[in-house]
Amino acid sequence: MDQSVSTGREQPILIENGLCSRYRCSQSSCVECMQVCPVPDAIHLSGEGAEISEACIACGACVSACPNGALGQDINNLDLGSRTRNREHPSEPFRIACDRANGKADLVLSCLCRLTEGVVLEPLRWGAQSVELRSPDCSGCGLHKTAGQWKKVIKLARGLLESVNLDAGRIVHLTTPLGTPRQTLPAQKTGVSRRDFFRAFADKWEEADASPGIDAEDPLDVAITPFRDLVRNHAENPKRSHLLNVLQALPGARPLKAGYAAQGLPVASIEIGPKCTGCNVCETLCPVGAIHHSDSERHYELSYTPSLCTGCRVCEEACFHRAVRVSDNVDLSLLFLGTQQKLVTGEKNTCEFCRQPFLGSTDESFCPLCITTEKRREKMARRFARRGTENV
Amino acid sequence: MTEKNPVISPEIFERSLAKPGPKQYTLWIDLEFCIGCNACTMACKAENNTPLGVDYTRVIEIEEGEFRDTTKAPNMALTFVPMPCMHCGRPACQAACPVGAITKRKEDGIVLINKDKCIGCRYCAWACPYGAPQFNAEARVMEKCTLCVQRLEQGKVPACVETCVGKTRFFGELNELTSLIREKRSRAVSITVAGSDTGPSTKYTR
Repeated sequence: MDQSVSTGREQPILIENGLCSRYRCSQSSCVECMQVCPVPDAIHLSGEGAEISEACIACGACVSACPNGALGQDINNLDLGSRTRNREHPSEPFRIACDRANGKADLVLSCLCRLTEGVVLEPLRWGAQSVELRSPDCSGCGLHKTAGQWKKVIKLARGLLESVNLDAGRIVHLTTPLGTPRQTLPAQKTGVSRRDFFRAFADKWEEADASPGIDAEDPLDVAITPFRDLVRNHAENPKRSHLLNVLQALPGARPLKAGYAAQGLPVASIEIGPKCTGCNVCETLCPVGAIHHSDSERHYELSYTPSLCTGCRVCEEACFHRAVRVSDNVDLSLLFLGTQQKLVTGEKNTCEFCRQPFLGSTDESFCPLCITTEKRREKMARRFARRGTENV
Repeated sequence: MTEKNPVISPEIFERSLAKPGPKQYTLWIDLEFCIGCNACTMACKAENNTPLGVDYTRVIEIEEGEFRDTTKAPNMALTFVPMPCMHCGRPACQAACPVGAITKRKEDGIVLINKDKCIGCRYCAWACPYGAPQFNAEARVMEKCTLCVQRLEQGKVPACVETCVGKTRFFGELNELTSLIREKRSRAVSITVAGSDTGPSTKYTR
């Protein structure tokens, strides 16, 4: 492994709160990372998102499991993918092995659970005929809880191949005997050159010199972006953008329109029913920015990009009106095409009472919220004012 | 007047004063003496500096009786019901908020909106059975009655209570208020706790 100079903790998990469903929406019930984590109590989920404790062994299962790519590692998917580019025997299948698998391997990972769909498919992009995932029987391994994760990744990768008229059999899983993998990758530069090695020390010293002293501005004084402004920005989902890049470059891919049952996989399709009030909460809270609205003075339109949707269900869980329905039946070819789909189109009107826009025809002058609130307030006031009854 | 305020059974009176859980600051509004002057509304606006259209408390006028019935003498009544936030035991607004911006403070039971978190979606207004949360269109956040927390910290009572002309509003801890109601109104009063499952804390008597 090329651990270079940094001798800190091995590949800690990095959290991008803005992409975490839990952080963005307190009603989210997403538990993907916690479910897959092999170490008890390593991940703690709360309304403030995910927290990783000292117990973490940095296996990377959560990085693979998080549909929104909120969790990352020092060696990201892009780095892992680029390692599949050059190898000694391009005609042979590309072999990715876990630490305990016997035999030759082009890429060795501590556990296959670190793989993402993008990394699994990337060797095909660079001309490999097939990808072989090698691992022994997981039952004896301390990380056996993560086996479900890499099986899911293989399932979706195969589904994606089928959706573009490629043979799903190009991704194979082989159960190998226990042993040590033999890396056949062309000798990677281990560590760094002398120059870089000393440069790294120099950088650290310079950094230490430049670090804020006592006179410098107190970091606590720096304004923290309020949550409400933070959620309005949508960060890019690094995991998905890597996958989409790989898909775009797959040789011989011809997208076929077909339904695919994607239960438990990080893809989904969205439908919005007639109860939609055009409040844009789904757009605001969507961690990956898959939903967008556009409106003019009289017209309102809500659409989404299926290739970005990860099926985290924040939109469904957040919607007060229960208008959003997330379905597991997906057309995977949309991931290749990257088109947008319309969810809602409607006439927009301005309420004469609250002066806020609402979805409704021009002959309505008040928004449904104002009408409901006024009615409720009066109903309750009547109840309080009722004479002679003991309304307990 | 007695037939309008029939004596209710002691058990019901006691039950209606039941305490919902730990410490809870709240209001007792005595409708008997409310004259609908809207001084509470104005005091609230002045204290909380709310823009046009945003009122943390409003006075609803309830008309009862029939005027046009020519066979009888007119028997009309106008009741004024001030409607602030009920600081519910199980706030519907809290349950509806998609970002967890609404909290019920453990130490005093006041339901507050965190304006840094609020995304202005108005879901709390949709959920509240009393129409309490108000949308501030300028700041694009929701606001509502805070029982004047800023005044409570200084040891004062809420602005509406201090201003009330008819002395119809009382502020205090729920236990203190219930004993105050017992002391002041004896049994000749009906006490309304809104019939909803949100467990409102504000007490109304008339």
